[in-house]
This record gives sequence, structure tokens and C-alpha cells, in this order.
Amino acid sequence: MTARLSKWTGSAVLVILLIITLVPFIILFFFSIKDQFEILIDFWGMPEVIKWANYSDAWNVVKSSIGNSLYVCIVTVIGAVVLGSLSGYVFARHKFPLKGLLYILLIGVMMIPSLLTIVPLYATIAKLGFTNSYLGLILPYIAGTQLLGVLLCRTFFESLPEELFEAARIDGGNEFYLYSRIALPLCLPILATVGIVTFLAVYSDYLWPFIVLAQEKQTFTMAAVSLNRSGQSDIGLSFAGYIIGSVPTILVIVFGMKYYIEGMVTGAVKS
Amino acid sequence: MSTSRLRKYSISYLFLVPSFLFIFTFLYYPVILAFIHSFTKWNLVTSEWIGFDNFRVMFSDSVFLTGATNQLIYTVTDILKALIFPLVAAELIFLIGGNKIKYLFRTGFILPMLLPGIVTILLWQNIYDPNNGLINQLLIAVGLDSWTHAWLGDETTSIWSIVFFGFPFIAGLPFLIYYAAIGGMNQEQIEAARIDGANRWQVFTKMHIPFLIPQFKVITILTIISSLQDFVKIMVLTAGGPGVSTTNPAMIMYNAAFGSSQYGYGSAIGVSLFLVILVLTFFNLKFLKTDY
Repeated sequence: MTARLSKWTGSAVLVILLIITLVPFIILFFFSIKDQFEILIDFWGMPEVIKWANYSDAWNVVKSSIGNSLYVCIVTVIGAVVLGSLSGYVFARHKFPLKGLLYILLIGVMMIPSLLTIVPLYATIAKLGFTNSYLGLILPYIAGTQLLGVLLCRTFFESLPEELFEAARIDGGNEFYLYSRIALPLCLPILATVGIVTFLAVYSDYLWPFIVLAQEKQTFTMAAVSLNRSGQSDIGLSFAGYIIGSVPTILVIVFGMKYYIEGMVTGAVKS
Repeated sequence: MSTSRLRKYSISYLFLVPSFLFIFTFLYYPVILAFIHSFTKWNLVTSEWIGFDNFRVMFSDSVFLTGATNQLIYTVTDILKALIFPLVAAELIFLIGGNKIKYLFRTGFILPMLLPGIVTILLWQNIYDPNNGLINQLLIAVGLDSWTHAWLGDETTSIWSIVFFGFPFIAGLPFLIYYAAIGGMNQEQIEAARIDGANRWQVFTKMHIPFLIPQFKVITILTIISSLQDFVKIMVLTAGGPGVSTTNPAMIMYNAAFGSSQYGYGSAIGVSLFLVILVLTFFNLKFLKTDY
């Protein structure tokens, strides 16, 4: 009896917590199809007519910023995946002097809090002439995001049997061939994890683009914040914009859920 | 000998060049810059050595001291939020059982993570809005008009509004960590304890809690590290205001550097926060030992 009772209270508490968790997001959708005037005069009421025009108006405001974000994300993901797997391969399959030290030097970077580097990284970017340029985002992003790839790829490549590589060596394959034709195709699931984690981190970043880029080159996160500033005049429009801009992250997470959670937990626990 | 060995190893080093080029240029070099320039007056073009002046100014600056006090509030509440709420949710999910229901709740709780963090921040700004915000509208709807507030715009409520941001604090990494750990616990042992007459509360306090110590530790460390660095939320919601009521050291660092071009002072704050993170992480690893 008491067991049944505690199960019921447990369920009730869970349902309440879940509702509170989701309420902001229900409001997000609800207001995105509601007319501004209706929001002001009748906060709780259902929309009289569903105002899809919010979406087409918002699309015109955010589309170029989403394109900019996607460009930065895709180039960063390619860089992170290539560098991470290349270095991971070398650390897993090669023997050379100073290997241990170099590995610590590389992975130790994960201990550096990003806050420490914000100011001097900006100075570095400025010196290289990358302010208000996408390179000012992409290059530092690659530097940081390749490390998860090194970590995961090294572990994976170490688990492969040496015969696999020996056979290819006897057939005359050089080291680059071994990496690109033997190792790389085998670690695609791992690269998916690295790619997804990288994509989401880069797409969601607001601070660094805000520091580096001017308004005309803005990423989606910058556009979202400025929508909000002007959004006092039209909540429905800004909310529709937030939803449109969230589509890339939603798609990436939904189709890569398994890889995403794996990568997030490993990344957090290992660093 | 040395040339043939060098040739043998050169390919390994060659393959590592890109990775190291990136981390030296964009991580190690900036870190060195930060440490050097924390002792200078720096406008990105010229710098002048001023010894410990930046640090002296920092500790005598009343804005910084307010920020540090606020940070204490943020960090303590962040740890409590991360330790308690996601654990309660994860435990309750396993209490009510049923694989399908478990999956449904887990998915529901992590649903907000689908959106970029900035969208959640902007949504909460709307929730706190004095006119069209959910909280005030809710108060009006239940007849508590007198309780309505400019939550973020009033010094008495602003900092607690930032603390309350994201309530009930479940969607996030700690929830996933607890969920995985509880799911991986030895069920036979727990069943045996139940048969021996232990009630659910005893199982929770005597078996679950000790088992989860490593998770508590990881979550505490991660939360401290992210709490000290977190100012995007503050920047968007209040910009540290009204006055300096919600500011924190990271926010002050940002303003010093990018608001008033005091890059040396900004670096000094960054270095100080880094040292605090280092000490706290070390303290955590050393003294919150897992030997049970």
C-alpha cells in the first residue's frame, strides 16, 4: 500500500517537474503563431487565427545569419575531425621519442578554461588580421574542438590489430595511405560523435562571434539576441525566429542522439 | 644513426604539426599573453609594465568585490541546483519504473537541450518580462497583482531571478550522468536489501548515495568550473545590472577588456579566476575522496 502510494506521489512530482521544464518551450511555440496584438491583450487565449506569417517574416530576418552559422560550423567540423583523427592515429600507432610528453601537452589544453583566453585570444586574432572574419572564429574553434577527436580516436585506433596495418604496409602503402584508407573508414562512428559535439558547441556559441564579428556578418545566436532587442515590438516574430534558428541543432541531435550523449559524457568526464 | 632515425620518426612529427600549430597559436600563446599582460597596462597595441597594480586595483575595487560576493552566491546555488534537482528527477524515474515510461520521462527532461542555449536565455528573459512575462501574467491570473515585479530590473530581485533561471534545473549533463549511474547499479544487491526489510528511503540513503559519490564529485567540479566562467547569461539578461547587483568577476573582465579597453586589467581578472579554478579543482580531487 505505502509502496503504491509512494509510486503515485513520485509520478505526480515527476509530471509537475516535467511540465515546469517544458512550459517555456510550449510558450515559445504558442507565441510564435500568435499575433503581437493578441499577445498583448489576451496573454492566455488561444490564437484567433494562426499567424504563420510570423515564420515567413522571421525567415527573412534570420536566414542569412543561419547560413553564416552553418558555414562556420561545417568548416570547423571538417577541421576538427581531420586533425583529431590524424593526431589520434599517430599517438595510437606510432612510436617516437617524446610521445608521452607531446600527448600531455596536447590533451592538457583541455584543462585551460576558455575564460582565461578570451582577452588574449582576441589580441591574437587582431594581430593576425582576423577580426570581423569567419577565420577568426573557425581557427580557434578547430584548435579547441580537435582534442575530443584526439582522445576518442587514439583509444579506438589502439584497439585495432596490428596485422591490419602490417598487411597494408607489405603491400606498399605509405603512412598517409594507412591513415586515410585503413584507419579513417573504420572510425566513422567516432568521427560522427566528434562532429556532432563540435557542431552543437559552435552553432550555440554566442560570446565569441559577438566579440569577433560585426553585425553584417552575424551568426544565428547574434541575430537571435538582436531580434530580442527589437522583439519588444513583436514577440511572435522573434519567437518564430528562435524556432527557425533551432532547426539545425534539433535535426543534428535527433539524428545523432546516441553519438551526442556518448560524446558529451566522455568529453566531460575525461577533461 | 641519427639521420635514419630522424627519417623514421619524421613522418610522425610531420603528422602532428597541424594539431600543434593550432594549439600553440590559439591556446598556449594566448595563455602566455594573459599571464604576461596581467602585469601590464595594455591596449592591444602598446603595453606598459606595472607590476601587481592590476591585482591591487582588483581587490580594492568595490565593483569587483560586489562581483565576487555575487559569484559566491552563484557558485553555491549552482552546485546545489546541479546536485539536488537532477538527482531527484533521475531517482523518481527509476522509482516509478516501466521501461517505456522511463524513456519517455528521460526524453522529456532533456528536450530543452535541443535548442541553442541562447534561445533558452532569451525565453527566460521573456518569462521575467514585467508586462508580457509568464510570471507576472500568472500572478495576475491568480489575483496576486500586488506581487508582480520587474524581476530583472529591480535590485532586490535581480540576482535571485538569475539564480532561479532554468528552474527546475533538470535538463543538462548532471541529469544524464545520474541517470546512467543509477541505471548501472547492481539491482540484485538492492533487491536483497529490500527483501531484508530495507525501505526505499534506506536504500536511497545507504546504497544509492554512497554509490553515487564519484558522480557527485565530477558534477561538483564541472559545476564550479562552469559557474566561475559563466557570464553570457548575465550579459544577456541584465548586463550585470541594475547597478552592479548581478555582475560577477567574469562579467567585469569582459567589460574591462571590451567595454573600456583595459586589456591588462581584464587579463589579471582572467588569470585570477583561472587560479581559483585550479585551486578548487585540486581541493575537490584531494579532499572529497571517494574511499568509502
